[in-house]
Amino acid sequence: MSDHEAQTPATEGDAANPCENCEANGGKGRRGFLFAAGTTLLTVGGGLAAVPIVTVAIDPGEAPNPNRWISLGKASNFKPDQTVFVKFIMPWSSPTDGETNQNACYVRCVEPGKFQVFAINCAHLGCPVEWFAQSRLFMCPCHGGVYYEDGSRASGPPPRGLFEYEWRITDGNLEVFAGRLPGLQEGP
Amino acid sequence: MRMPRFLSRSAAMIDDRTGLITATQGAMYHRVPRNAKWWYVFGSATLMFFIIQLVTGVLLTTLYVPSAAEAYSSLVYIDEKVPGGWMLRALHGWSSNAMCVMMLIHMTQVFLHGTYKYPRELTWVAGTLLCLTTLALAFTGQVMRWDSNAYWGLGIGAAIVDRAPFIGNWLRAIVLGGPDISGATLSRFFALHVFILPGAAIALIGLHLMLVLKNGISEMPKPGAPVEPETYREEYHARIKKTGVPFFPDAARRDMVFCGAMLIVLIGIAAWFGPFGPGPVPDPTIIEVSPKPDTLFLWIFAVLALLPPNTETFLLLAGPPVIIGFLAALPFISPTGERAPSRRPLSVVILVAIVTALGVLTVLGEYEPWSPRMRAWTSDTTPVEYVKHRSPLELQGALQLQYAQCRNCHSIGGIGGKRGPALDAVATRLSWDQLVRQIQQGGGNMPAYGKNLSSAEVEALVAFLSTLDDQAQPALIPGAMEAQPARDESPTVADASAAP
Amino acid sequence: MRLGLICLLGTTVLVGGCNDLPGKPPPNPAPVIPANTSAGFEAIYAERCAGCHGNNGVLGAARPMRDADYLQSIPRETLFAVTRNGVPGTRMPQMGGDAVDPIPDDVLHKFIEGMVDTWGVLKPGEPRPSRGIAWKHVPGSGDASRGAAIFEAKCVYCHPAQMKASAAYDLDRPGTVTDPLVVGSVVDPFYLRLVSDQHLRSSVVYGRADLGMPGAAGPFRSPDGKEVAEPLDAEAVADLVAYMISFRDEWPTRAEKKDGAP
Repeated sequence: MSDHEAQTPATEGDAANPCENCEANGGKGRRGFLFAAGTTLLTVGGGLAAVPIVTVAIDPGEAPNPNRWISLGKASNFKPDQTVFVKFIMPWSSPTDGETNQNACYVRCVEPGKFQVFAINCAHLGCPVEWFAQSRLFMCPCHGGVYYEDGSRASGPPPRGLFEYEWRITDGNLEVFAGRLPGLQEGP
Repeated sequence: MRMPRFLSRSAAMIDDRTGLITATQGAMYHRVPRNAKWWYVFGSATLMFFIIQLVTGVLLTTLYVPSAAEAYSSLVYIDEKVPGGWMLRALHGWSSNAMCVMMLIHMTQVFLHGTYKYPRELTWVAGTLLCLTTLALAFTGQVMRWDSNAYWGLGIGAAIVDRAPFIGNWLRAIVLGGPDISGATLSRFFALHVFILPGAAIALIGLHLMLVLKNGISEMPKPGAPVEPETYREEYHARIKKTGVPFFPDAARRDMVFCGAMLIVLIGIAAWFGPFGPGPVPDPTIIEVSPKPDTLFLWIFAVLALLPPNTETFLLLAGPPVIIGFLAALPFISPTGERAPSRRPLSVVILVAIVTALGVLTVLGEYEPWSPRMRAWTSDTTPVEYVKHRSPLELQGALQLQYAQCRNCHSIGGIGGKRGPALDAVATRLSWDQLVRQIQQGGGNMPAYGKNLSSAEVEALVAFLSTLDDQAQPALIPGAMEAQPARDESPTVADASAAP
Repeated sequence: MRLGLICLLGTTVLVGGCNDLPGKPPPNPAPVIPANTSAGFEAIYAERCAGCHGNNGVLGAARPMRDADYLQSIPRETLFAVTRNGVPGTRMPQMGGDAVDPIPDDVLHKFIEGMVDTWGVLKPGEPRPSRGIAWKHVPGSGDASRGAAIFEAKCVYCHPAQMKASAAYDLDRPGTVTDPLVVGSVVDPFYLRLVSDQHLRSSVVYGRADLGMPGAAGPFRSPDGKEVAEPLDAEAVADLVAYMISFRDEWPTRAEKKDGAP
């Protein structure tokens, strides 16, 4: 330590004013022009390089609207007054997604032709809720959120009911508008 | 033993051109207070575990495949096929925990001894940043395991980020690398875990050590010797010059003994307990999971369960910046004055409160009493003493208790969920009518079962619950027919169920 | 020197003997135990059935499954169908099919096989509580008025409609009975709405040995608590079931929605 300190006074004089002849903006004349040109070139180059860097850094996968209509099979397969667990493949997937390109939802057939499609993700923090047909409740294993069969909040920490996917029937198929991991904030 | 001449000449040449040897020697032989004893070993131990993390981590990247499709199978391959592979994973996992523990003890010691005061404020700030980096490394490391806990842990993280007003959705896309948890998410966290965060940690450790060398290792605090910026440096250097000892070998001996012992303990633990996970495959369509973070983050898990819903978002978003801000600002809040814990009662109280809170929350997180037990209704048996001498209707009520998943939240005979109260003595707390009302209308965090149960189901359930009086009465009271006063005259149960 | 040797030895043990250390992870995925073996079936039973049917198949709130006579009598397809689809209107849930987290059909077949092979073995010469009477309930069979007479003679002591009417009612301690065999009514309309006709018949035919209830073979109790050795025949079983069923809709008279009764 003491050695180091003994050396500092000698270097400090240089460090305090490393360039006695320098002026603001890198000097005048040719030197000033070179400095200005260098600054400009670096700024423009850096800005250009930043385009792909920032694009990928912010979001390599997000399309303008990640949701697509996904078929869950014949609408007539769903029996009234029943809630079933249905798997589907996410519309946006890369070759390296593995099992994570799948997702699932709960389809509740209120009456023939009338459905509710719930995300499996708890509205509290996204854990997978499980449907219990006997008590007609959805329960979350993480922090104990509970929902009624119509998706409304029954108890626990969730701030709202279950997330619902939009649905429609096309050619007798039940389709849901899905692709984005459901969250408290609506789509992008 | 003298060094051969050509060696010492080469050394002199290298030092002349690079200055490395002088700098190293300066660090090795810098004088440290004589009383810097066992309290001071935890920083070195943290560093040692970090080095183990670097070595084992680099080796793991030669075996691990950071692709969502293959990460899991590559982990299984490391565990089962690569000779010593599981031991490497075990060392990496346990060393991560050990590093965090040592770091927290080190921080506690620095806080307790007031070491963060003048002139070491920025050393503390760098340490705070290191602490955050280490915790981030631990969290991202958990993601590398790419099992169901990793998947749903990311889901929880995304849901928290998503709550940020205005930018939440955008922020979430940055974290996940897309609209959902996918291959891009693992790649992002891999980049964080093996490039960005270790790089940051190395840079911060360099800064931290540089500052330690510049300002010197603090002395043990002495009551009645407050830090005064005008005179502290001068006095410190004078004292160190007089009574200090060179770091190597005088103080380093203890570091070496402690680190060596810890290293052997680490190897023993890793060999005995093995690697962490991987748990079930990260398939979002397998929902029979109970996502839970590693021990280190259990307290956060507990906080998330216990925050009141109406202030949750605010606390989730405002909490971390406030806590981190407070930690970083600590040396500027109290930069001078007494360092001895005996003269800083408020600090000691704060420390005890924090340690107690974290301890309690971690224990709660381990037992997660707020989580329903999803398989309790089919696996947790009705205690035999509650089955014997019960009427047929009461036995149907016992079945209804299982069937309606009551056991997922309520225990009887000590087994079952812990979210709701145990029901062994429920008949001593609630009358027949109160039981009916509680079941049908819910309340107190219990869902209302009114529309889901028929009157016969409620009747049977209440008949059974009415026998659960903590064994206070002999079991020879077949309760169903007698417990409900004047049932024949007023079918109150049927009335209540008919109401919406 | 000695220290070096120890270190060398330690390293050798560590590197060479890694596979024998306790930390070595178990195979992943864990090997599946076939469900038709005793261990495989019991593991599934403990997770999916023990809650109601009791640990090891006895003394649960629901019918015991460790009942060789019962398991031998009920066709395996029926056991399979009931487990897979549940029994609507009763407390038997659906365990397979399109339930959440179902037991796959092939596993369920093996599970039934494992259960019958493990718990359904009748020892030679062991008396059968059912006396071989058919297990299946035939809707509309039996005569309720004859059933009433049999009930009065053989059942009412343990299953009095009103506790106060029981011969074992303890006048010194109101509300209690003196005999642990006396458990309460089986003609309670609420009870009857929660169970199927088949449940009633199975209970009469096979009894519940774990709780002290006799099957068709008896012995029964007379209204004053004396033993009656005379067994039930197939006709008497049907009559008794018809008698009990006749109480199901008796009271309260209000028509109910979504009731459990079939």
